[in-house]
Amino acid sequence: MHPEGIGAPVLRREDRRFLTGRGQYVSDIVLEGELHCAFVRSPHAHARIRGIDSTAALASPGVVAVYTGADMAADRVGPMVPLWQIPGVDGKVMNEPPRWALSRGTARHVGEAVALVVATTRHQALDGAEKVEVDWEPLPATVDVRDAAKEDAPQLHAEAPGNLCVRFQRGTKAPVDEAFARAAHKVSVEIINHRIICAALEPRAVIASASATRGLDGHAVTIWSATQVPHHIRKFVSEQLDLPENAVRVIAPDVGGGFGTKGKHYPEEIVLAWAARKLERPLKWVSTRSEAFVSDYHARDHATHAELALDADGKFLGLRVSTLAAVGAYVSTVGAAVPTTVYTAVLSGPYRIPAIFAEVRATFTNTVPTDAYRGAGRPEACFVLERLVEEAARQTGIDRIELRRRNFIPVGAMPYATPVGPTYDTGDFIRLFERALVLGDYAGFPARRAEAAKKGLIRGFGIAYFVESSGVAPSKYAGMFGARAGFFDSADIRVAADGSLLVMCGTHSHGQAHATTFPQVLASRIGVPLSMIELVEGDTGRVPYGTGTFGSRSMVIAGSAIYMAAEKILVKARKLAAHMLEAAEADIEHKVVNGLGEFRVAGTDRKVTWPEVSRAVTYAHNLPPGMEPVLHENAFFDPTNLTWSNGAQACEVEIDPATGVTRIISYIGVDDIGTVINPMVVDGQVHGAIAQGIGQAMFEEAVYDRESGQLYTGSFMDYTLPRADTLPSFISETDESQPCTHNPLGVKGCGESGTIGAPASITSAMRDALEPFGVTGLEMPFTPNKVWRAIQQAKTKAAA
Amino acid sequence: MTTESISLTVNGQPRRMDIDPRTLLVQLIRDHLGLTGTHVGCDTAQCGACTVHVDGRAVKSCSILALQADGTEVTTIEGLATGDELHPMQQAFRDCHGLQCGYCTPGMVMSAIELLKHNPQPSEQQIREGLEGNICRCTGYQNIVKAVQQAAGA
Amino acid sequence: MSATRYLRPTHLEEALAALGTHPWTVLAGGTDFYPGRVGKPVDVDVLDVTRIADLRGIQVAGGAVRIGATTTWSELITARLPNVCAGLKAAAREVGGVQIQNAGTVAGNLCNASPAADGVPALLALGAEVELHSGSGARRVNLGEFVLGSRRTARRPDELVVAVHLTPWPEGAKGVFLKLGHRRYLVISVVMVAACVALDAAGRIARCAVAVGACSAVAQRLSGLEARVVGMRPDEAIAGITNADLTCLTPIDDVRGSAAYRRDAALTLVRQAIEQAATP
Repeated sequence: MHPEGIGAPVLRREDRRFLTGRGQYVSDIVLEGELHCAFVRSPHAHARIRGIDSTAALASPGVVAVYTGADMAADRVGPMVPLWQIPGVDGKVMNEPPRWALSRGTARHVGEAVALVVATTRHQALDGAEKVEVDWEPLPATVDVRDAAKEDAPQLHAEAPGNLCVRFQRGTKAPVDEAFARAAHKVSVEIINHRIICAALEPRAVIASASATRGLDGHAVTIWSATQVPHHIRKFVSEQLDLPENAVRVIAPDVGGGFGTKGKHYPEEIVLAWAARKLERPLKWVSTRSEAFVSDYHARDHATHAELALDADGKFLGLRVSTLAAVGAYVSTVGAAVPTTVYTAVLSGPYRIPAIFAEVRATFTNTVPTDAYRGAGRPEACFVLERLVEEAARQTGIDRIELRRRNFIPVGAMPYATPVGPTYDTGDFIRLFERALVLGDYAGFPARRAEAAKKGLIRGFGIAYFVESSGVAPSKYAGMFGARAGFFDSADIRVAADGSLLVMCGTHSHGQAHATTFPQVLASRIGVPLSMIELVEGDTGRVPYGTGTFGSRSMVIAGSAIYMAAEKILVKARKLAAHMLEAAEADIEHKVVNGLGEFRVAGTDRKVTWPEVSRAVTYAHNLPPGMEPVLHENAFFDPTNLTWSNGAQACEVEIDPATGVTRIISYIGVDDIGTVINPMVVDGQVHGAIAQGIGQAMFEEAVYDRESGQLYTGSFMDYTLPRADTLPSFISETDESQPCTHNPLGVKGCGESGTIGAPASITSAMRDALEPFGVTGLEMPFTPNKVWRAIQQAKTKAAA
Repeated sequence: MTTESISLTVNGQPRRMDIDPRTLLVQLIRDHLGLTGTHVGCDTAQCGACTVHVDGRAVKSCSILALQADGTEVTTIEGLATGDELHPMQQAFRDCHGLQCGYCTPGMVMSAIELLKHNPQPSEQQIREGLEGNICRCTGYQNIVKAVQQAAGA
Repeated sequence: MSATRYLRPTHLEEALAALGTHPWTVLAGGTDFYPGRVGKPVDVDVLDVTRIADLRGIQVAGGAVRIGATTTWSELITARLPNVCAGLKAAAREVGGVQIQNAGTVAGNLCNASPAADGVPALLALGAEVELHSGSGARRVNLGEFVLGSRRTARRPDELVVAVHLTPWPEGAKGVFLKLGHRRYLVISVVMVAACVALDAAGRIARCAVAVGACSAVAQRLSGLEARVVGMRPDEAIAGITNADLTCLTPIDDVRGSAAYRRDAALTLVRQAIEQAATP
């Protein structure tokens, strides 16, 4: 094994920069002559704009300009068109009402941007924004998706009758009806998967710099954005400003956490790009946390009715799912895809379910749009399925562990085609499930439960299993579901005369350690120390093609592209080595010895080293006939299938019934992410994902007032993120027995596991704890107040 | 605009300047001194990303006025390492993979140093409680706790 | 826009003179000052009192305690105080995180008058008095009369809080502070209870004080309960505590908890607090 290569727990190369305060986030960048921006945002959930008076704001000290939607309309700036245009039933494309970066006529959620104020300092911009007078005519609003779908609900868009964005179906209905007709047991659940907010610690920020003369680098506009997807932003900005795509440069420097929420296009990007062109001055906007809560895309927000049919032995026969999903006030970048194509693709989970039919109604509400946040559709699907399994166990009297064992897709059935479309290539679900039970000492749980009961405390054990569609790609599949882009990724490798390598990828690292793990792939393949490899990402001006980092795809797609480009490099290097060693190409073998690459004539000690070959090909003094100088290759990886990461999550909770306070005693994650490139980095990803899943289950909830449409949880005082002392230490393990079969590294995505599984496993534990006490209907997040109330209600019911 | 004069020592260097009295300490550090390692993650003094040391004690630099630090010694994340040698806490964060996106990291490191100053051998629970004033959204805190334990043992 | 002024006197007289002529916003630790503006620029004239030596520090004399107005929570935590102040110290550890304890001051917490201010119940239970000075003289006000409502106090614009005074408790008295929030720190509490108990030689309750915070606009002493339990053994006292003892509380429903939950949780916490305070 290469000492710094695949499988080595190499320390992160990017750490020194961050640890010494030298990271460079967008808000750290200062351009000469920059002006500062603040946005005027709607205080109403739904209101017509009768007029906007900028007079006082323009007179405010330092204010340079105030712009509104009308100004953008006058310049013919186009609407924000989503990346995904989801096909609904009967092939009808979703209803997509126009979305403008600054409101034109009506605002449809609290926090919608309606005007831009540009000033010399940030304080002056904020002061100026306070002075913009908007003449509002409040309209009735609807913020709960169940309300919004009702016939008499206030309507958001003329283009979307019934507030319907799209009615989407997956699977086939008839076999499911047939399964229910012959079922011995039928169970159903009503589930709310509540709205949550990502809250990456770095608030979003944008800088735009434009020059009518296209400046030195030839770009009409250059944008620095705290984004995961600079290439997508380039596309959106060029579309709306009607510029050639290559006239726009987007740079994503260090980004302080993305989690999917920063993988989307936002109004501020286009407003600043447009205004910077108007003013010919660099413009900067840094979100405050308060405005982040009402302008960063939210997530989840599903109301689901689901039914499962079982035979007399507890074997699953059919699954029927009907979901109302809030897309919010507008369809954002991936907003309509998450609750439709992404969510329904994993409804089979780890189970053999012969017939599945799902219908989703993506519905407009007067709230911040929803979009992909870590897990994105997969946590919702896992939650539905695991809740049904537990309900089935309760109703049939079959133990919930045993019921799962009976229904897991066995490893021998792989590849397995699910009735919702996807085919899983690999996975040994039962093996990981049993391992989680061992790590969680399920056998010893009854004794621990009894011990806790002596102290008046209630314990519960929870378990869940998820299958995640990770390594988000196949452009072909994306196209089937209305994506306006390919989903491949790129690697471009350039070798210098000294053998050092420069790798450029279309992904972006915002915590995932690409600068360490991508070079590990290359170090293994070529045979160089990590110190000889540099990675460039996040700049469309340097990396021409890319898709970005989301959906646990970077190592799967870009890592594979690196591997493929390295193969091309080695083919050429081997040719040259044969020439240098005066041997036949077929006799040359490339070997990595003690981490260093060499080309040897098989069976002899005649060899040339990697640096020698690199120098020879770059000096080009003596190349074989027809060979071009230098080693410079690129590759584009577009796999045939998603990767099917999967894992078991187990946990134990302890509840104090007097106060409703719940403590998580232990948390276990066992993950199949295929081949592990860097176990240390993987552990970190797994921990973070579990923490966010626990966050949704225990603490976090975006709460809107159902009448006024105001967001109650608009700061870290009310939106409670997990803190160090509210989480336990996790036990995490990976199982590498099932490498992916359709990428050269055998990797599966690893970024989201616990976020998908934890809501289900914690809910399983809470219900296990409280059901013996007659508690029913308890839903996330399990705040002390809610738990206490559920216990009180059960007591009252028992007394009656 | 009225200005007030302020002199203080930042990372060992004496500084003297005239500032708008409304300036927060974090603005002085980031905008006036260009020390952008101190981050702003919220506007309600909750996240701790802006934590610096004032006269050796950890404070949230977003919640005090710069003038309140007049005459004090301020240490930011940039002032911890000695040349190429990281402070033991910085090294421990690296060794234990106690950071991912890096945004909370400076504040987290500054708080962790304060924690060990008052309790050189903390239990895991004490570390977790001591870091209560800092939010990390990436790590789940586990490797941060490990880092503080390593630094305590060092 | 009027220019913002900043004044940082080193003597009390200077501060009082300023307050007598202009509506200054008094600033000490500042930990609630900027956050309360959630990102909006500072637009008030600021009187920074942290450099006034007379306002700083803690003096203990014969069981009586004087806490200077700008004493930080960290200073209070490390001070040597009578046992009955253990609850106050526990409350101090609940104020924000360590960074907030290092900057935030005792008087700032009182003057800010948040219904959920951590320091108020513990100081109420200790029977604290607030010492106010102005150009025209000085006065002392019971803390219960100082905090008038949410964000409202009895301090006149020309007055400055100089110190908080704690009167002596019998030796051996013990103080306790319990808090229930989503999390232990930082998020505004759902319920807080502070209790101080002194036992007589026979182990019966000789003196008892209980205060409940976050269950009404102003933290409340449970004076009926306090009087009723005197002379009882702690276990009988605790067994006899019912909702009737909490009628002075007026909890509200909000995102953090329902009124019924707050009331019930308060009852649980009151029992626990008295039990712990009565356990030597």
